[in-house]
Amino acid sequence: MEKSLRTALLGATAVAVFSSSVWVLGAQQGAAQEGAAPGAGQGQGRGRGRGAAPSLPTPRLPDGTVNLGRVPGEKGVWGVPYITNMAMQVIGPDGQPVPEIVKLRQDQAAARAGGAGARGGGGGGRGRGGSKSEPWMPWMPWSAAVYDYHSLNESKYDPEGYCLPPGGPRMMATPYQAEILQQPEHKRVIMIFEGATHIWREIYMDGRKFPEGDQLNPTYLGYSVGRWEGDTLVVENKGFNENSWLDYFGHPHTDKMHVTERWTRPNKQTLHYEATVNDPGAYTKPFTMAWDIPWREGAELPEYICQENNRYLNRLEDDLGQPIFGPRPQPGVKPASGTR
Amino acid sequence: MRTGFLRAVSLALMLSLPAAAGAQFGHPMKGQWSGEWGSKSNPSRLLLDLDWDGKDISGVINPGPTAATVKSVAFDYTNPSAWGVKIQAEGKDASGKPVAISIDGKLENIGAYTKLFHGTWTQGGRKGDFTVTRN
Amino acid sequence: MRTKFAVVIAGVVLLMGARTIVAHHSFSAEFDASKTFKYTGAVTKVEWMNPHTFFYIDVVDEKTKKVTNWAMEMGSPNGLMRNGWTRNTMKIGHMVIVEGSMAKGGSPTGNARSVVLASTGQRLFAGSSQGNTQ
Repeated sequence: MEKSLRTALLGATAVAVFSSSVWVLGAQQGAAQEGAAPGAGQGQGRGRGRGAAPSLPTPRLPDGTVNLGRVPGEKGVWGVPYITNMAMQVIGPDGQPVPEIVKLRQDQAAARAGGAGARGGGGGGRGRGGSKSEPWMPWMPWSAAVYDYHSLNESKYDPEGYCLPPGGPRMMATPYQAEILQQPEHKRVIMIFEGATHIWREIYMDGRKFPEGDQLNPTYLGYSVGRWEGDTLVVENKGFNENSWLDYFGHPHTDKMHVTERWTRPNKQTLHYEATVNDPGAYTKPFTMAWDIPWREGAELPEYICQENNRYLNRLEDDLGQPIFGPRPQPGVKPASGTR
Repeated sequence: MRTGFLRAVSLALMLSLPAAAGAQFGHPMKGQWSGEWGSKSNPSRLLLDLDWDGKDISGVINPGPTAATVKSVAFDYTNPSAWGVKIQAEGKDASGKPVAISIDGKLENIGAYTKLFHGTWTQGGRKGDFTVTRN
Repeated sequence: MRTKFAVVIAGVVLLMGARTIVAHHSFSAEFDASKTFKYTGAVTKVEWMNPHTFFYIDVVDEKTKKVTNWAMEMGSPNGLMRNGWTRNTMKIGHMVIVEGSMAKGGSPTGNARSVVLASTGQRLFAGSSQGNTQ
């Protein structure tokens, strides 16, 4: 009697494993097909080929709210893509990439097809064109100059390279997995991240007002207050410090930055992320960026402690040849270059 | 071998007292700058406290009884790694007389925490070199 | 009786300090509790950061007139905020009187136990990282 029960259980497990692996394949291929959305070309889904898996409906919580996380009984995480240059993800009011970006992508594709390597234009990889190659960005002269400086030294001084967390949308552009945990009973949404050192975000869903003045302590991830508008989670973020870059390419931001995020899950496999950056300290107008984040069925978050063995810090020297992380110099002393 | 070990140990100690680990990647001129201007034998101490409001740099030179107020700042971004910076400020000397300050300098080491700002300082008819680093 | 009481208090304070040491990096590895200082100087910077808030003052040597910029360590921002202090409590250029323990190794660094605003005598940031519960 026991033996037949065991066989039955083994058989059931085998079927479950088989069907869940089918789901995994289907989910990944489904995500690849979703690739028309902005940003999917930059990391996920490339080369996976055309799958025939149907897109699965948006999962919901018992009260009908969109479920931005796991379905009960299943595992999974969000496969955050690597977006190195957020300027290439800028969309217009119609939700589509701005015309200059479309043209830039066409030019790059034509250049590749013609045998030349992907060139300039501020796209991913080498060959950064700096601020002039991104005329749709609402630059201030100083923010364009800082961006050019970071382009020239290829992001040498990126604070994320110091294992410091990003500020603003970059948490959803740093290629380590993440999970979203909704706690409606506590009126909050928690996001946990593999990257940027085991970090988490807390989004208050209790309709509170932002703290003002000295009470709003500037932080890396900002102060987040969210609400549902239909099937869209809208999150307002303020109170960022100035210890981070907007993206790997080095678009700067100030502590005046206000980010409005719009999270939707059009189907089970896709998290659609939109962020409007309104930073009157660095940009003359707000701009909105968007990309898709695929669901990784069956996956779990591992541990990642960035500062565990960051040898880059030991080697890093500034423009004057002095170690960036070294003994504090007395102020006002202009060091002779290369004295190391 | 031994020097390498010593170096590693001292580096580890240094990392516990890092050089101005106060990161700041907003406007590069924003913040406090300390240094000196004038002759090497009798330099004048400088403390600049500058802010950026999205339109202008504002701030104070040497907060205290002889503080000077920043009136205008102009930038030259031709070289993204070494910005030209011209500052006009107005203060008072010890006797209360108004003093005009004119600063013409270069902003360098922009990616590091201890940015460097140096050049020529003209104050009340005197002219000299100045060097300040970001605190 | 009073001595006994003082010993008990000292023991409690040390225990509190020990708890901090276990939870965070070691005070005695960086600072020498037997080498104390009292300096007056103008504030040149406030670093409202983790794991320790730092502020910096220009200390002028009375004899040589040489100016040395000192780094003063305090508790973490979250701890200080719980005691009602903010990143704007201390103003650039203000004169403060700082007492504390010097760093080992001779660099101009101290662990600040007491910070008093020279103009008003007001005590700022009551409670230092030495012996403070985080």
